[in-house]
Amino acid sequence: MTDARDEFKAKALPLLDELYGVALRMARNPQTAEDLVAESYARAWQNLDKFQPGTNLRAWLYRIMTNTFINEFRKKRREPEKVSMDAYDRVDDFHFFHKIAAESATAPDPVKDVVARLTNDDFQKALETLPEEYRAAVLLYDLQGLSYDETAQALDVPVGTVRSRLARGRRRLQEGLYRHARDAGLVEVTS
Amino acid sequence: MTKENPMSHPCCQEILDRLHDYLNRRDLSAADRDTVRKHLTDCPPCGDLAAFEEALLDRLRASAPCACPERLRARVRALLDQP
Repeated sequence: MTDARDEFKAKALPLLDELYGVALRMARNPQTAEDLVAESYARAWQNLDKFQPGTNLRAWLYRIMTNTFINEFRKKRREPEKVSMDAYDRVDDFHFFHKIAAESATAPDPVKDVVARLTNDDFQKALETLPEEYRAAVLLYDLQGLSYDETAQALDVPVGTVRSRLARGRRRLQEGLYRHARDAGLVEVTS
Repeated sequence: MTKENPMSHPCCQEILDRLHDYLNRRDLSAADRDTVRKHLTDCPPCGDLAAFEEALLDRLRASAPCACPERLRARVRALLDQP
């Protein structure tokens, strides 16, 4: 057991920064994020005997953190989040880019003229407004670079579900970022 | 950048369907990565779109503090020092 504990300390402590980054975006509040990470490490530490050596510690920690968030931190909210599909299923995967391309009279450099001029706050708000289950998939796969299998393990859902949450999450994110860019006057509105 | 719709060509569509996998760098074989990379170089509309998506992801990653506060680090260390 001592070996497992030493191995956990050696491998899990370097993951603190990235777990905190994800916790902050899940919980949307620094103090809650700290509590979430601390509680997740405490649970992992208490359940170390359930961890299969040689399997993916990072995915295991994310799974504990996601479950802890859903079961302990989110339940204070009165109602579960309802996800309505319809409006976003019509948005394409690259909605933001295509809107800029379609609406620009001149030929802007979309990276320099739009992406670079959005603020960190715009990006954070666009992420924060995603429904939780979509946000978690986007955070783990697109931002943290977990594989499909690791994301599926972390969220405790099949890979197909990960893919569909990613697709829907990205569409909403694209739509949200486009709205921020439009509101900031970074893209022209033709209609 | 060009006004052409990058998704209009069937070959482009196949590449763009795999763009997120390509940007994630985990779920494509080396051969598939090379195929996507070559297309993005050879096809300026898809290359522009990919550069845009990559820049979006970079900004998203950088948009929130990613350093764990020292207080939390100390808290977790103390936890792991318990018997």
